Amino acid sequence: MRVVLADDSVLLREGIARLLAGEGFEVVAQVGDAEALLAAVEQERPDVAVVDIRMPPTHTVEGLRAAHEIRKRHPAMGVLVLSQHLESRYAVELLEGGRGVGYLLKERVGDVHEFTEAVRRVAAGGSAVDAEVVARLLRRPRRRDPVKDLSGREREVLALMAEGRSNQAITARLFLNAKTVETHVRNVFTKLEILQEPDDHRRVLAVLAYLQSPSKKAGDPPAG
Amino acid sequence: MSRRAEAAAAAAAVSCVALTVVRAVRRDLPLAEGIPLLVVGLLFVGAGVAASARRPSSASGRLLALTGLAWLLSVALTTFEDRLLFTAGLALFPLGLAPLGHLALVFPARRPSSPLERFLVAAPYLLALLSVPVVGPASCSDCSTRPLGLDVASGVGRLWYSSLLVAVLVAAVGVVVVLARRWQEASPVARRVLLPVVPGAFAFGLAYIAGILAELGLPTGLGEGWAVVALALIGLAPLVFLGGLVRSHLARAGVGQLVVELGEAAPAQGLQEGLARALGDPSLELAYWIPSSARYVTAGGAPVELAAPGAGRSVALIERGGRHVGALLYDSALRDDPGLVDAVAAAAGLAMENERLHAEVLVRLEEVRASRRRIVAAADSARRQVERDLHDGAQQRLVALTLAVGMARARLEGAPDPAVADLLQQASDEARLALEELRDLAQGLHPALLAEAGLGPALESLAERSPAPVELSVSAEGRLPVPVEVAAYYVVSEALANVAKHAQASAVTVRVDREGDRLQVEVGDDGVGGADVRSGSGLEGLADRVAALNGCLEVDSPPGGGTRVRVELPCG
Repeated sequence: MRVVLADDSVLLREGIARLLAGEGFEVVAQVGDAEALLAAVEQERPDVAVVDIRMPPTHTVEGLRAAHEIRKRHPAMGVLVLSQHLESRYAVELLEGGRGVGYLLKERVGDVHEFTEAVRRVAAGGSAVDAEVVARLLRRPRRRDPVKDLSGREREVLALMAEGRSNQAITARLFLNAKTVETHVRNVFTKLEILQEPDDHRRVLAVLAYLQSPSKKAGDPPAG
Repeated sequence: MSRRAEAAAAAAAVSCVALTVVRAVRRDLPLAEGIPLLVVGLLFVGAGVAASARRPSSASGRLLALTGLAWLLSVALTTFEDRLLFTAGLALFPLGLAPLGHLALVFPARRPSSPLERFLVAAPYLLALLSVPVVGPASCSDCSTRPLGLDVASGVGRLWYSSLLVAVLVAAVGVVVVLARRWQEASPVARRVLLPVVPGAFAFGLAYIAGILAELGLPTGLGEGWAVVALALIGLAPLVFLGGLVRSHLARAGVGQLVVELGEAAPAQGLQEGLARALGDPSLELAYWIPSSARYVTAGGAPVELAAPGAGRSVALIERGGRHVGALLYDSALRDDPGLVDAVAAAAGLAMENERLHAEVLVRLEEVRASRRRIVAAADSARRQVERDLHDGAQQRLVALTLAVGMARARLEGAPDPAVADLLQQASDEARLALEELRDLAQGLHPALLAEAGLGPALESLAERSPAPVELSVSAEGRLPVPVEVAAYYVVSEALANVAKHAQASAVTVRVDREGDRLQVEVGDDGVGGADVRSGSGLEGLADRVAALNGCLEVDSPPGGGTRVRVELPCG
């Protein structure tokens, strides 16, 4: 699997490259800014780009803008955005741009298996949303909060769905059988009154969208 | 004239009148003939004393009094039968005219400006002396007492007299011409000053010239009319002069009125105009002294040059509390009444001091605000730098550490010593906690999202991270000035941090509304209350930040009643 790495910190870039190489990825290019990233992507056509959100020249959200640009030019190419801190609106923005995206805290590279799994998932057109983003969205106060009606298991399943994991992954994660997980997933959608999506990406999007603006999607009476 | 001289003049005048009356009664002279001259003489002495009392330094009073005394004494002496005394009395009459010519030429308080003027001032005195040998016979041909002197009808006396008349004529024409030129060249303000003396003196001069021409036997068309006109003008002269004194007095009263007005409020039409009105000088200019640049400026800030002396403009420096605050530039004609100018300058000083203090307070206030804004900006810049340093330094290194530990753990999977895996797990967990703390710190230092996406999204992000559930409502749309966004953000951030730390709240509401050019931010919770803006260093710093933007911060936190932080910021 071919990877392009973009991060202005050479130390981290080298580290991540070593990690990925050790896990069987082929790191075809390492760059330090968004412009070089776009050029490398054009030249190498990798399966996935792993991009630091904050790069020169402005050190704000160059990586995010580049990720959107890559998604526009190459809809099939995966983009995983890494950041020192998270904004849930960026996660939703990225997912709305199409399949094959991820948005993780940078320190997630410390869990080799989780991280490489996320890179593979994104490269394969799946999603990877940081658990921290999901947790924040779940904490949001809602006027009438159907999330409160979920059982503990159901809430765990909802969080894992929101992180972009498939039923199979959820099954493995929670040590449950596939049938039980399917039941939980169905219950979650029913209780939250959102349509169940057959596709993992659209499922993540639906769940995140629900969590982000609860009062509208949950069929609450309009505010005011 | 000193007070003593004034008293002596008055006493002499009264003595002369008394002497005249006594002599007239004793000799059974027709008193009625002398009465007009007595009255005129008394008026002159009175006007002279009044003028002197008002302006002791001015020559006007002395000259007026001299004329009056000369004439009163003239009347008194002509009541004597003694030929010498009688003749002296007659000689005093023309001598009384000399101070009047003198006064007309130097009034209000000038020195003769040319040799011609000096000559014209001196000439009447000289001519009055030269008239002594012929004045008696020339004045009365059929008097009861025969005066001493040369016969003017023939011989040397005739020649003397004729020559004298021609010389007097020349001098009178000279005086009249000089007076006419002075009037013509005078500014409106100067004419107002000259009015009590010069026009009357000019008219008298013309009548006097007509009289001399008649005496020389030349036809004037006036006959004896000139004498009536001249006498009327002479009689009116002291009254007109006194009128001028009264008007000057009223002008000072006007300054008093001005001071009262200035005490209440600055005159609506501007200080300069008010002063010009009080001084009766439309050309008056008010110059403000700017110590820092050592120059004078108008109220509008335009530089002002103080006119060089002698250019028809005079300068009165304005001082207040021992400090130089400005200058009045006025028509030199007003120097006649320095008291009036001083009074106006004092009034101006009062008003300018008030204006200056007011302006200075405003300047200081703006300086303080600007410095507070600079301090806040400097603090923000420092915060950004620290955040950047953290991001590029400690945070990256900790991530690299986490990465290395993670890779080590992956390598050790299935290794025989589980204790090593545990230690690595522990190291990894510690690094993660350190990263979390650094993240919170960095986020508090400089909210990247605020600059990128604005207040609404940044507050959403804050609300998401708050441990207590936050109900957020932001109705202010669009971007606001950066300092306003930053201040509003920090207010909410600090308030939410306080809620998390102290309030034990179960619900928090954050509202941001824009009403016109005011942004209102309110953070309320249902916690324990009792917060104090003074004790809480965070809120205190925020109060400074808000004040730097001319906003205000209120904290309402009754014990047990929750806490409400309200901020209003101008954002126009």
